[in-house]
Amino acid sequence: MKNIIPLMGFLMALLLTPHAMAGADTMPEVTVTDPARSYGVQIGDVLSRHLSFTLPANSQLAKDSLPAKGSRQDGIELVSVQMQQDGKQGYVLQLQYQVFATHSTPVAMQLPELSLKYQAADGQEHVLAIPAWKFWFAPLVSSNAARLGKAAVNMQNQFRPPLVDMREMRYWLLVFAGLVVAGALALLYINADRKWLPFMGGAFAEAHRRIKRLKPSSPQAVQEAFYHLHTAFNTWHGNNCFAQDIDSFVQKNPRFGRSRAAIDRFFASSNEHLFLEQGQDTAETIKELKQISKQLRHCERGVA
Amino acid sequence: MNTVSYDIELADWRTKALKLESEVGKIIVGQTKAIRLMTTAIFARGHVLLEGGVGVGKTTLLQSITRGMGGAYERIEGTVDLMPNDLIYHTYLNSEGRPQIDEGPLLRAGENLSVFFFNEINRARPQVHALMLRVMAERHLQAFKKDYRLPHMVVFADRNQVEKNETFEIPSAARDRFMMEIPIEIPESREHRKSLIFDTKFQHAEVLTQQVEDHILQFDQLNSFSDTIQRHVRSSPVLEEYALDLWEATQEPARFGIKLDGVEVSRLVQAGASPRGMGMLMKASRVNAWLNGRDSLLPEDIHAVFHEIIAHRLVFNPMYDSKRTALARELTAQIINTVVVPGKH
Repeated sequence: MKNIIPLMGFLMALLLTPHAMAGADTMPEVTVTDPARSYGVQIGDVLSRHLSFTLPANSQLAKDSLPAKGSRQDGIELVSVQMQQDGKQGYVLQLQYQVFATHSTPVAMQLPELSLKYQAADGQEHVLAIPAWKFWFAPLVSSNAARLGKAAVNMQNQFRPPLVDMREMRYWLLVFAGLVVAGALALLYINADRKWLPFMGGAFAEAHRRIKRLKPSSPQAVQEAFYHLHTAFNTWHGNNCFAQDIDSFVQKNPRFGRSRAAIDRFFASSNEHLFLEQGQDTAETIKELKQISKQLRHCERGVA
Repeated sequence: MNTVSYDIELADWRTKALKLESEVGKIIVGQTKAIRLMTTAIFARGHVLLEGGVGVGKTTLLQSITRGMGGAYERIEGTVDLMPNDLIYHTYLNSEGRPQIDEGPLLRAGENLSVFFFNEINRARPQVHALMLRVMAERHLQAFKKDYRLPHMVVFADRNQVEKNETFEIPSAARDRFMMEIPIEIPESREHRKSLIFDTKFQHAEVLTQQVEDHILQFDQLNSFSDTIQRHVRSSPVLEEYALDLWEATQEPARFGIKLDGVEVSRLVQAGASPRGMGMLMKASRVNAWLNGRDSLLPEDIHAVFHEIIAHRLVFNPMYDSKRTALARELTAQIINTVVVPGKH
């Protein structure tokens, strides 16, 4: 009985062959482009099939014969179906399958065969058979129980992890820290109207420094001290600044407004010493000028 | 004279001088600085050039000052045909029909002449200038076979700076005889201008002048008191150095770093202030100090009179002479702004 069934199949094939061959003569040619690699496919891989064919004139493709998106077979899911019509009878079908199968050993799998139907001009229905495409599924991890059993043997002692070389990073850290400090100082200096650092010279800072160096015992010391302070006033005023110019000086340089009394005192003292010859003793005068110059230096730096 | 009476005399004269300024200031509005400078010139016994346009009140100002200081006021107009003898005498037919010669404006008041106003002096010929400058310097003149002394005379001369036709520019040597050139400007304040044109009291200059109290000063004592002021006001060594620096700056402004826009400063000045000019500067500065109640000179005393005493004395390179008034003002201002005191000597 077992031998009868294949025999009947063979006879049926012989009976159908002429018709099939006749149909094959008129069957449109299908160009199938399968994935380039048929091995090493793993879970999550996406495999694309590209079909293009041209139906005979006045034929109609049966849309319901197209594979349905989301259909799954043997762990392979059709995730995308895109069909474009190329001219009136030409079709391009782009299918994307994604592999979700899990196997611990390599397995031969296939993208399923397809049967696309179309209705010819005479109303007869024909089938375009697209063969399956086979490939080898490769597991992500080989599950070899024997090997797992030997894992303990292969385990190695724990070592202290090697230290990361920090020298370069430390160097750059120092460089950037230096830049931050320099930037902060620069901001401070700019905020003090570029007169913060004594060696960067505000006029009154300069005068104060020079007056500090004077020796009170020197006969010319008082005149020199007045000279330095008058020079500072002239520098800030833009011209010679005399007692009658105090108002315009303060108006022009409001930062010195708070020391108006000291300025008045200075010019009065200057007139007394230099022109009226009524001044007090040298040491006292230089001490007073030192204080005035210091106060005006603070104004100059905007910290008074 | 002991110290107390000396101080009383100085204070007394100062009170009178300030009263004179105040009296004149009542009828001459907006000329406070000019009045102070004229008071300074009177007490420094210096002749004055007046600079300013027409109708700004120069004559009224002079007449008012003369009334306050006492003495006679004489005036002559400078014209192209004015001759030196017009200052000394004039001829006319008297009531009997005979020719008569009388003393001219310069001699008419004799020793009582306190103010002589020469209006538009640059319209007169150089011969007239020569006579006038000689009288200014010597303060006496021989005429009618006798010697006329004019010991109390102060000359005020006006220069027409606008019109140049038929004028004879006063040479620098002559300008140097004048102590000051005082600008008399139209007042800047709108209030003052308004009162000048709407207040009817300004319509009659003679009536206005009469409002000034007369004989506030004793004009015939001014010479001796001027000497008193000069002896009284002292100058410190620092100030003397400063004055010398200022003098040198008038001669070589470039050396002191003085700069003027559009001017090659090193070629600007041909001759700076003269020794006489600097002497007059210090004389007037001392008067300014005294007027401010001090017995010592300050730089501000020099500044108060510097431009008015120095500017007209400067001799500029001819290429800059057409702009001399503006340049002289700018240069003197720059000298004061640039020359430092105390200097680093």
